[in-house]
Amino acid sequence: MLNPAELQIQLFCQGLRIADSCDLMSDARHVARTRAGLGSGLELVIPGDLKDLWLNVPVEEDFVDQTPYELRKVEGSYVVYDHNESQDYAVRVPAEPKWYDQETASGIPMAQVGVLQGTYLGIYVSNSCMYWYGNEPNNCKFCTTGSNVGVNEVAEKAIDDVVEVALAAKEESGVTFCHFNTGYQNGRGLEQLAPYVKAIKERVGLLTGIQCVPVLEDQHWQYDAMLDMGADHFSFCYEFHNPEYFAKYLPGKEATVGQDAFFKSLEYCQGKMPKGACSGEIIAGVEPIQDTLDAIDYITQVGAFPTVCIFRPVIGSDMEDFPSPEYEEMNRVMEYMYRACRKAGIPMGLAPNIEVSLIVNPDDAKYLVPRDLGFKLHQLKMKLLKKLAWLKFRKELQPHSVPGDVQIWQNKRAASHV
Amino acid sequence: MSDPQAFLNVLAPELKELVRKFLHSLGECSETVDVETKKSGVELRVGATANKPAGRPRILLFSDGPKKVFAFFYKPSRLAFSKDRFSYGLMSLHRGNSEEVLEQLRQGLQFLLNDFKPSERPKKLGRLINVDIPRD
Repeated sequence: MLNPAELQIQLFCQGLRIADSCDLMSDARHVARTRAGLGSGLELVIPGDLKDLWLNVPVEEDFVDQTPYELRKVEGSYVVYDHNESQDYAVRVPAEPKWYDQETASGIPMAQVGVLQGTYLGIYVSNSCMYWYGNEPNNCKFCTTGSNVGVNEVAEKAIDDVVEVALAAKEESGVTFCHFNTGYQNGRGLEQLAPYVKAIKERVGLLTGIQCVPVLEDQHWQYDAMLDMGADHFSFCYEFHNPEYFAKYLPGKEATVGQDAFFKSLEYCQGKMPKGACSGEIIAGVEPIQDTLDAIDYITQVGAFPTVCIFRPVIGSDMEDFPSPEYEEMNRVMEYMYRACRKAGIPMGLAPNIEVSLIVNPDDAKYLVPRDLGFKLHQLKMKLLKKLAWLKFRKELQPHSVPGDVQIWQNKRAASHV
Repeated sequence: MSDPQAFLNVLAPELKELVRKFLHSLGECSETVDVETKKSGVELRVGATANKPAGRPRILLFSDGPKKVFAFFYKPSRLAFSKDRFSYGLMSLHRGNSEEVLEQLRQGLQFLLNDFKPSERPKKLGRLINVDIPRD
């Protein structure tokens, strides 16, 4: 019998078939692929005694035909049935929030503005990542964003629409965190995000996270400006630690900023923020495993937390034909990640109600280690830290003014022309 | 093949003739290509045989006025309840001379026959979707 994290990793690697007994039309969130990266699946929750685990399970990709795991509805409840072991695992299928079907005042369906990913609100604010433009696009090879913005969601998001959706998500779904993504915007991603972050802070009251291609070193002041807007988190998706893999599979990032820009930005931002406030995002299952372990060491030594996605050969991507990773290797990576976070003193699971479904969270991976005395003491420490952290988070979850001025970008440009 | 006449009728004569010629050529393919007329246009997929089910990849030909035809390459969701479409890209077929356009369509058809294998992707199949893709 698998523990919750083992099942989570198995499902990430092998996917899930849907039995006819399921009534996902009524019971589930729709399968949204409105954002970048590796998400294309069904949101599930695996209950556990340490914590419940959220995951976005592959259900659309062709490799799912081979999976031994099948979602069934039995007497009104959902189980994952393992055909190899003849074993049932109880799971929950999170319901689609009512606000998904509501429209903003301007008439946009709210789910076309933002969607829940796990328990947080994810918003891709603008036109597609610029790496997708041109006759010979430089898109990241695992990604399908450029082929989908406009197909499944509105391309341009008005600030008022975003605020309205965030208010609905906070009120109805208990969302505490809003994560913004831009893809590459010719170095103007942070500027583009600034008014959204400020509006969420001042008009909604949520923790905010930012993900865009890093700026170069002489532009690091932009991170300071974003902190003034109220940014609580920066994630830097450098995907592959091995520079050859970085260059091969992320040609746009290689050509425009290079891998080093990710490291310098991560180090700069993390240096200004509490431990674990920034993350380095990587994909496991493509580059050699030792490179992934090196990435985890690097990220945790910087004081950031590693967000490790299990590679998914998403349909429509250039890497669609790649095999899904092996369970044993991914299990090893996730256990290593948990141990590395503990060793480096990276806080885990402190933020209120933030469960990321596209990755194995460091906190999820605690199921993979023995529950010895060290484990129990660490659990106790995290529990105490969580109580202390709540004092800060409670303030952030109320609308409040922030000192940042979105004009700073224009002012800087004007000054540079004088 | 369902009757694509309604779709063809909205097109300007030159485009109409070109699309008609392309649809006619489907009969010469190594595999059966099913053509389904939809409200939004005409949809192609590799048909079922005794040994295998119909293909998942689709090409939706649709128009945005008489002088524009687009070919949207996608796979539909495997899930009965989902209306999600997995995009492989968009061809704009209103530019260039007729032979060039027809050649683009033939390459697109080959991609369909190859089950949208990434290495067989036509060079002129744009990745970025910059028009609204209609739904029935």
